[in-house]
This record gives sequence, structure tokens and C-alpha cells, in this order.
Amino acid sequence: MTVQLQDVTVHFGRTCALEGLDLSVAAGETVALLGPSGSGKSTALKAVAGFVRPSRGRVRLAGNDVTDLPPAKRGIGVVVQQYALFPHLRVADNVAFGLKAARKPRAEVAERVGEMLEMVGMTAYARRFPRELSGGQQQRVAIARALAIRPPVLLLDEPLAALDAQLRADMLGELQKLRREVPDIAIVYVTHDQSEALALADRIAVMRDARLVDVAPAAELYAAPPSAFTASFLGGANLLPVEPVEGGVKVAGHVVPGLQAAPGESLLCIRPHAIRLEADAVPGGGGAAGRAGVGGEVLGVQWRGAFNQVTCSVDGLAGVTVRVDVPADRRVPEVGADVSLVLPVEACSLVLADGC
Amino acid sequence: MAVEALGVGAVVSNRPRPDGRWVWVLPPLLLIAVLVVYPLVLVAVESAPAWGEVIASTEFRSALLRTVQIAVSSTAGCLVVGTFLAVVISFVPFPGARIVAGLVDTMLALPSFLVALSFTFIYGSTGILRAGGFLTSPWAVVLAEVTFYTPFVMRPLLAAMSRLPRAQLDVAASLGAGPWRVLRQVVLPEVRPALLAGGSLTLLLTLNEFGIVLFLGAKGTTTLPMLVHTKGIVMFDYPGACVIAVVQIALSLGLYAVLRMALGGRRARLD
Amino acid sequence: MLVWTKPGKAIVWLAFAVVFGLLVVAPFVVVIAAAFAGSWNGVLPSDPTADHLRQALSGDELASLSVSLQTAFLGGLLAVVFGSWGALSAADTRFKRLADAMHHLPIAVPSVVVGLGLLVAFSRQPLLLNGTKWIVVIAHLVLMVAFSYGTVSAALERIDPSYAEVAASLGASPARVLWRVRLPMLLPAIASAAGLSVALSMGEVGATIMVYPASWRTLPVSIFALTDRGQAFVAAAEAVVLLATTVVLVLILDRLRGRAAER
Repeated sequence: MTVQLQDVTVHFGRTCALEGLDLSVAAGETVALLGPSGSGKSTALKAVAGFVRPSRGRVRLAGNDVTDLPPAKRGIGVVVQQYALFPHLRVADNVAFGLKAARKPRAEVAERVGEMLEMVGMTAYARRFPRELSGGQQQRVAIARALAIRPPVLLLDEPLAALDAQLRADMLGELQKLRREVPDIAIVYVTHDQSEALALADRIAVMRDARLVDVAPAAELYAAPPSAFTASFLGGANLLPVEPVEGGVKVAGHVVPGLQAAPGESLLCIRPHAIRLEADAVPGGGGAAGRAGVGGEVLGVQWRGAFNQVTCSVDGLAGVTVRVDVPADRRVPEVGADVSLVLPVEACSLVLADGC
Repeated sequence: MAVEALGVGAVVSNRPRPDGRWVWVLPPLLLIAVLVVYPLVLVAVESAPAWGEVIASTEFRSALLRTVQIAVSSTAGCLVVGTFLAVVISFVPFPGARIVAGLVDTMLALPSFLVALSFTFIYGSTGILRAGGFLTSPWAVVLAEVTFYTPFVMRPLLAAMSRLPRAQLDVAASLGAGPWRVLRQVVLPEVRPALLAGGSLTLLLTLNEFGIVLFLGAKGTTTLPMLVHTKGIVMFDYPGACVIAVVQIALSLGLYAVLRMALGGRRARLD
Repeated sequence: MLVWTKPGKAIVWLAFAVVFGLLVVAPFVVVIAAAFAGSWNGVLPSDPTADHLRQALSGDELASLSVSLQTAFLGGLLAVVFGSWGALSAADTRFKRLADAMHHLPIAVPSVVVGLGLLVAFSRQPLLLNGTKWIVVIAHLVLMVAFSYGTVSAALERIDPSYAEVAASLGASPARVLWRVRLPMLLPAIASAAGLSVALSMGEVGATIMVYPASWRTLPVSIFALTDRGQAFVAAAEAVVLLATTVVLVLILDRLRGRAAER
């Protein structure tokens, strides 16, 4: 394992910013730390970089305990949110900074800087100052600077958060390309944006309230989230309370057959695009019998281009709303219409209710 | 500048730093300790034998009263004038308003006695206004201090006002508020911390002001700093000067501490 | 955005011009005019002359200018070094509050009292400095160190700590981070602290008048001596010399700062 965090706990004064984090990242692997602000993901990254000192636990790099080493002795590449390009140094000097700190021969520094700038497509800007660059260009330089020291680990802290939406999509592609350029490096990618995590990460570590909630390969986490928090944070799943019955589970009076509830699992998780809406055969919701799914009423419809986002209430479940994504080519029910929400069993999973 | 120097609100960070680096802070602190703290402690020690005599003297009592009187009047004047000037520069801008704002910044670095010097030409017995009597009255000191310290009020005000969104004023006006109402209900509440910061700094500096009083040389206008100079340098009465210095320190630091606490509290509540 | 009508604006501007002109600008104009006036017995000065200026730039008065410049550079620049040092070393340590308080002390206390303190403390063993120029330099150093500390400290708080963190992550030692990242980024603030220190030092009178020996008389002390002897016009001329010197020095330091900020 290239990076190993063992029971890492960080306190700032009396507040606990990170509680008992266990996580490993292998060489060549990208792990995304995903969570809302204040979930401890940036603190975890700072603990790896050495910017904060854990009050408990160990950090290991390639098997060596580096917990007590200052950042300068760790050799980790870091890209921070606002990039922190040194404003008084030109692009080339920014990239050369770490190499000069390591007292590499001048020729080697020049060669490596050229190599790095070429990799991120910034060769033409070598003589510019950071303030003469756009946000996207600054980010490329920050990445080149971090990779110039040939780190075994690259830490990226919300690298796209400072960019506007279009640029963010472009840079996401650039980062995927970059990943292929440095196949042996372990990457830790901190983000609050699930789409970035899904696009880039091999594994996703979901964090909340200073703790790690779930960690698993991205596809697995999306398809079968182990917890309610992960289900809703990653892909905005609908969560419906269920009770186990013979041969399945019961949701708002409707039985979904074939689901087996393990102890403690009391929420049904289903993605918005997996629910099918059908016009209700029995207007006014006259009992569960004869329905293809759960009864409900359409509360609102938002057109999102490729699909319509429909919000429905659920009969018998006060306070619960369900989000359904209806492809644009399908008919959309009117607001106020009674509908049946069909829950295909293959798209359903059961999760633990964890207070979310 | 001075406002920053006395700025309230050091951010205490939890960022850990490698141990041992704090020793670097010792030399500058040692410098201050030897050159400022040690002398001030000696001043307090030296003052011991002269307390009774000085405190009982009418000279001291009237100087104390004068000092506070002049400082309070000057600060009030600075607040009124400074607010007016800052409001015009910020919200009724004219061509060249930025130059004026820059000029205000420069004036902070000029010596205060220049103002007093000019007064001899303006109010002197042979000067422009020939108001000879005025020059030796405490009001001349107050006017000179208002002139000199108004920029100290303007600077934080201008900064605070530049942060106030212009749209807020426009919206208030569109809702039918006249200029006075906009000022009272939109502008003043937003800039109150800056007004307080500038005002308290000015109060401190006017309590301590020496150059203006020295240069006006008004017979009837003896303030505490002036008395320190007279006793120490003219009369060679060190213990007496030390007593007054201690009173002055207590006055300044006490006021400064109170204001810092008041401002600090406000800052915390605003955050 | 506050006053919408043309006449309304005109009135406000007129009031501004009167208040700003008479209260704030006039004194400085008057001093400059007096420096070049042979006499001033009416509303306007009369008998334009350069004699006062010539007098202000000769003999003892010229020596005062040289004394002031030396004091400002020695005291002011030492103050910038120690002020920046203090601000940098105290940042992020538990000594921050103590350092803040100690550095605020010389500005919170009247300069006359600072002077009295130096006089009392350094007229005796182990540090007998009274009667030398060093006591004046120390007075200036002490007063200006407070301003330098405040300026640099405020600038430090505005700089994102991630610059230093990133530099460290790239393998830079603490000394290298200081020299190659923190100091260059603070250069504009340090230059402006230097400008402020030199300007304030040139005009300092309170502490100086308490401690100066006859052999080390600064410009403001000379100006006071002149007014005390009734030579107001020469005093005005010398004040103009002081103003001009200060402005030139500050402009030079400002250019330095501009160049530093550009990069």
C-alpha cells in the first residue's frame, strides 16, 4: 500500500475534525474522499500531507511511518483548492520550486520543468506570472508543480471547485487523461461533488461528520449503497421506509416481492431514474389493490433538458417525497395527478437507517 | 496604517507548527522588553516619592481635566467631520474623489505640529484672521486636533463604506427613503464598527497628543503629556514627571483595554 | 446613489469643498505659502522671497536635516527589520497575543512618556546612553517598530497559509519557505511599513524632545526651537523642507512597493 491511514484522529482545539480514519490507497489507484463540507475529508488530506498533526493514529507512506515527519520530508504532491501558485514566481519557477529545494542540478531542473509543462500543455506560458493565467491554466501549473518532484502520491483538494461549470467539465477530462500519464501514482482526490468522484475514482470513501461512512469501488457503492447516507449523497437515491413481510417488504401498503430485509435494514433505496410512473387506474387512491406500485400524487415537474424531474408525494407516508426522473421522450403527468410509482425489484436495495 | 497597527482581532490558528520554532520570537520580544517595558517599569518605580505632592497640586488636576476635555471634544469633532467627508467621497462621488481619498492616506504620515504651525499664520496676532486670543485658548488645540485627526476617522470609514454594496442604497432609495433615512438606516448600522474603531483610536491619540500642544504653546492649555515634558525637561523634576507619566499610562492603557474589549466583543457578535 | 438631484449634489459638494479645504487642506497650504513669504499681515502673504528657504538649508538647520535623515533611516529601517521579524515569528504561535500586546505598547502610551522612560532607564548603568545620539535612534526604533509590526502582521493574516504549506510539501525547508515564499509575498507590506516608519520618524517630536542631546537635534526639534524664538517664517520654510524630504522618501519606497506588488 502506498498510503495507509490507521485510526487517524485530528482535533482542532476541542472540535474533532477527523475521527479514527482507516484507509489505504494502492499505487496506481485513485481514491475519492467524498462528503459535504465539514465532513473531515480535507482534514484527512492534510493529515496525509503533514499540514496537520494527528492527535492519534499513524500515517504510513510505502510502509514507512511518516506521522511525525514535516511535510518537507514526505515528498507528496499536493494541489490545494485555490492552487496557491507563488505570485512572485513565473510559471516555470513555480514548477521548478520543489526541484530547486531538492538542489537538483540546473540542467535536470530545466529538463524536468519542460517535461512537466509539456504534459499539462502549458509550455507556451512558462514565462508568465500566475496572475496572467486563467483558472484552468493555473490549475494545470499547480498539477505540474506537484508532479515535478516525482511524488509517489498526489493529493488533490477540490481541484475543480474554483472553476465555472463548463471549464469544470473540460478539466475533468484533462484529469482523466493525466491519470493515464502517471499510471503508478496513488491519487487521493477530495471533493464534495459526486459526479467528479464517480468520473475519476476507482474507489470512493464517503465521509460525514468527521467519520468514514463507507468505502468501496465506485460502481459497487452506486449500485448497492451500504448506508442511507451514501445512498442519498451519491446519486441522490430515494429512501422509503419499509417493513418486512412474508416473501418481500411492504412500502406504504404495497408489497415489493423478492427483497429480503436483513436485521436493521428498514429503508428501501431506489434511484430516481429507476422508478416508473403510471397513470393511476383508481383516481383518488382507493386502496392498494390493483395497483402496479405505490400510490402517490405529483407535486411538481421540472424540465431538465434530457429528462423531467418529477416530485411525488407517497400515499400513507406523510412528509416523504420521491424524486422520479422521466426521460424527455415519455409523457409527463400533470401536477396534481394521481400516479402509481412502480418500483422494479431489480433496482431496489435495502439499507440501514442511519439517521438520514 | 495606525489603524492596522492597533487592529483588533488576532486570528488564533490551530495549525500546528513544529516545536522549537517559537524561540525566534524571543529576540524581538526581548528588544521590546528592554527598550519599552523596562523603562516604563522604572518610571513607575521612580514616581514613588512624588505621588502625594503631585496629586494634590491644582496644576496636575487642571491638566488632567484639560486633557480629557480636549480629547473628547476633538474626537467628537473628528467623528462628525470625518463621517461627513467619508460619506461624500463614498456616496456622492465627484471627479477626483479618489485623489482626495489618497490624500487622506498621506496625511496620516505627516507630523501633527505642522497644523499648529499653520495656525500661527492663520489666527496669529498679525495673521489672516488676527484672532490672537483664540490661538492661546484650548479651542485652538481642539481645532488643530480635529484637522489633524479627521483622516484617522475617515480611513476605516472609507474602507467600510467601499465594502457596502451600492445596490443596497439604490434599493433603499427605490423604496422611497430619502438621503437622511438611507444614511441612518442603511449606511450607519453597517459602518458602526469602523466608526467605533476610528473614534476610539482617535480618542487614544488625542489623549496622547503632544506636538500640537507644544507648538501652540498656549499658556492656559496644559495637558498631561505637556506637563510630563515641562516637569521632566524644563524643571528637571523626574519623580514628578514620572507620576504624571504613570497617570497618563493608566489613562491611555485603561481606555485602550476597555475599547479593545468593547470592540472585541462586538466583532465576536458580528461573526 | 445617495443624493439624486443636481442641485442637491452641488450643495453637498460645495459643503465638502469648504470643510475639506478650510479644515484639512488649508493648514498645509498656509505653511507652504508662509515659507515663501517675506511678511504676512493680511489675508494673503506678501513679499515673496526664498530667503527663509535658503536659511532653512544652511548651517545648523541643514545639520538637522542630516540628523533627521540618519535617525529615520537607522531607527526606521531597524524598526522594519524587528517589526517584520516579530510579526513573522509570532504568527501562529501561542506568543501571538503577548507579542501583539507588547508591540502595541509604544503606540498606546504617549510618545513623551516613552521618551521619559528611555531618559530614566538609560541615564544610569548598565546602559548609559543619555547624551548620545543612540538614545534618539532607540526612541525612534521603539515607536516605529510598533507600526511596522502592525502593518506586516495585518498582511500576514491576509495571506493564505496554503502557500507555505504547499512550499513545504514540495520539500522546501522552513528557511527556504521563509526566504523564497513568505518574505517575497510580504515585500509590498514590508516596503509600506518602511515608508510609514521613515515618514513618521522624520516628523517625530514627542519622544525626541525628551531625549535629544544638543549634538543630535532633529528637524522637528529645530523647527520648534525656531517658532519658540519667534522665527515663524523660517520655521515654515524648514517644515517645507521636512515635508518635501518625507514625500520624496515615501515616493521612492512606494515605487519599490509597486514593483514588488507587480510581480
